[in-house]
Parts: sequence; C-alpha cells; structure tokens
Amino acid sequence: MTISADDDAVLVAHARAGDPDAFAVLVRRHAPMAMRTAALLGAGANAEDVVQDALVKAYGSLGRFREGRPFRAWLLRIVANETRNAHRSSTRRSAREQRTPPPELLDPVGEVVHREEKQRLLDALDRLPVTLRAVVTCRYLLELDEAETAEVLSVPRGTVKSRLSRGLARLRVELDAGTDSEVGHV
Amino acid sequence: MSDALEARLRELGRDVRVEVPRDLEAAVMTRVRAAPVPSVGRRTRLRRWVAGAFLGLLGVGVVASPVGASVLDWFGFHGVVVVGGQPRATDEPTVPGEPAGLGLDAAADLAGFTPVVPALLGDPDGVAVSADGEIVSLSWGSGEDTVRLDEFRGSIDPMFLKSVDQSRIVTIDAGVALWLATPHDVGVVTDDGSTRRLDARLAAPTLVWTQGDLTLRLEGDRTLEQAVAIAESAR
Repeated sequence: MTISADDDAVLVAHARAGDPDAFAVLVRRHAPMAMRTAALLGAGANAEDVVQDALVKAYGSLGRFREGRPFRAWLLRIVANETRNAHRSSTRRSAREQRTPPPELLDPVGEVVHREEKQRLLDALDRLPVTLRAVVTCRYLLELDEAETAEVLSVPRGTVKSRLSRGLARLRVELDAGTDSEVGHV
Repeated sequence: MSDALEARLRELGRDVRVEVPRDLEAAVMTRVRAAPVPSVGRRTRLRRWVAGAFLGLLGVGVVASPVGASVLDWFGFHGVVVVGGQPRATDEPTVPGEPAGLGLDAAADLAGFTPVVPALLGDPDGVAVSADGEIVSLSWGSGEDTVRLDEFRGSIDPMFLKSVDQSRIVTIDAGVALWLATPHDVGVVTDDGSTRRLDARLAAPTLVWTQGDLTLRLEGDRTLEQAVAIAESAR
C-alpha cells in the first residue's frame, strides 16, 4: 500500500512521454488529497471544478515539472492556485464558501461535545487572516510538512514558520478567550 | 485548553470528509486525452495550442512565423520559449560580453555544472554566473565581434523568452537546434508563473540547442554554418 515518490516519478515520466494512462493513475492516486486541499483552502462548492481544472492544467504543465521534485506538492500547488483563482473570479456569494473547512464537511458521527469543541476551533480558524489560515490549514489540517506547505502556498519556508507561529498564537488567544467567557456564562 | 492545539487541529482535519466525485477521473481524462502531449516548458496557459502548432509544423521542418501572432511556436527546448511578432525596430543588436576574472572551474562550482566550451572558440575571454547560480555565460571577443554562450540546466528557471519573426529548426550533431537568424527580443522569465520579462534586449542571430541536460544558446554575428560548427565543437 505504500506509494513511493519514485513511483510518482516513473508515472510522470510516462505521462510526459505521451502516455495518458500513466497520468490517470496519478489522478486516481492524488485526487483525494487534491479534493481535500481545495475544500479546506476554501473552494467550497467549487472544489470539484477547481480540482478538475487543476488536474488538466497539471497535465498541460508536466513539461514544467522539475524532475526529482515531489509530484504531490507540485500538484497541490496548482490546486491551491486554482482555488485562489476561483475565489477571485467568483462573486460575493462565495465569501461564505471560503470558510475553512465548511462545517457541513465535519463528520456528523462524533459526540456532541466534541462537535461543539471542533466547531469552536473552526470558528477561530475562520477568523484568522487568510494568509495565516492557509498555512495552519496546510500544515495541520492537511498534515503537509513544512517544505510541502511552502511549495503548495508558493512562499518561502521561513514565511511558513513565522505565519505558523503567528497563526497558532492567535488561535490560542481566541480559544482561551472563548473558554473564559463560556466559563463565566455557565 | 490550547496546549494540544496542534493535535486538535490535526484531529479536526481528519474529521473532515471530502468525497472524490465519482466522475472526476473520467472527466479529467476526457479533457486530458483531447489535449496534446505535454511539452517541456513553463507557460501553461499558452502551451496547449502552442504545442499543437509546433507539432503541426514539425513535419515541414522549417517554421515560418505568422506575423502578428502573439505566440508563434513552441519548441521543445528546455527553458526556451519563442513568441511571435516583430521584434522592436531599433538599432543593431549588441552582444554583451562578460567580464574576465572568473575561471571556468569557479563558474562550475557556483552553477553546479561544468560549462561546455566549444573547441572552435577556445577558452572564453569572459565568464559569468547569474546571481541565482543557474546560468553560466561565456563570451569571446569584443565589440561587434562578440560571441556569447549562455548555458543552463534544462528544467531550471529562469528561462529565455524570445520574440522572433523568423526561425528555423536545423539539425546538428547533438540533435535538433533552433536558429534565430534575425534580431529578436530576448528576456528572462521568472518562476512565478507570469510572463515577466527581465533584461529584455535585442539579440543577435542565435542558435539554441541542448546537450545532455544543458540548454545552450549561442549568440553573435555569425552565419548559420559558423554557428553550427561552433555548436558541434562544444564538448
């Protein structure tokens, strides 16, 4: 079940040489993460269109892909860019859809207490400035490592580090404040 | 409450269910199969139809440019894109030389690859490495007689952007080369996905070819035959 990066590299080489079936394998392999990335970065109802466009663009850009680099991060970068473009071109309607992630995506099976706690966390995440939110989302919700986060968001690693620590600090403040006030009310 | 914040965020992420639409793969592959084989280059938006134009013209062997087209042809040279249209009508192009002082070995250290030197030209008079360490430039002679050779790894940035009204594909020992006989704009495109041009200048006749994983661009007031001879002496 372990999929090695080498494996991706072989498939990329085949796809580049004009074998679309090899690209189909890459699509199948990375579609779940691509969908998650689009949804969590705020593509909302457009996630499917965004991912479809991103995958087609990725195919067209395979010649640009630098051999030896991780394919997944490269692909997710295209997904992230498409997500941003989708925001830019859509109307105010989608402002709501930029919530990260939309609460309806949360697993409804969890215990109510946990759901409320998660909702609070989501709300706090939602109030972060978009640049901080994107880094926190990539690094923790999508569980990308620091290098992948930098690549996906097209920012230097140092920026990932600083935004991450600022994002977490703000979340802590928000959550602590929320907890205090609730304690006061109950 | 927030000491385990990172763990809680991870848990939140795992809690998010995002389905892959069942027809996603089919929809993508339908579009992919309708698109041309991906070609090597960087300008995604242009690539699809540019590649089509290139494949259509390959059979002819000689590429003539439709004047006024914003994009002329896509050539499969790493890091080089050619766009159509007339170059700026200005003076004769000048070929910038490089300063003496840097040795070839030092350049190789900075760039991470050993620059190719055409035997016909001998040791270069000037050697330079771009600030980002990705392009090695060699130059010979001075004034109107200057010849320069820019070398870079195929898949690296920046790449050269050329605007030409005439170009030919020629065959040399190393394979296929692109001959740009007339003055043309040359610039460098950065990796931010845009088409920003840096240091745009009018270039002299140029031969572009690839050797191993290097893309080489020879520029100077030389004929095609002279340029090919120089290219074929490059080791």
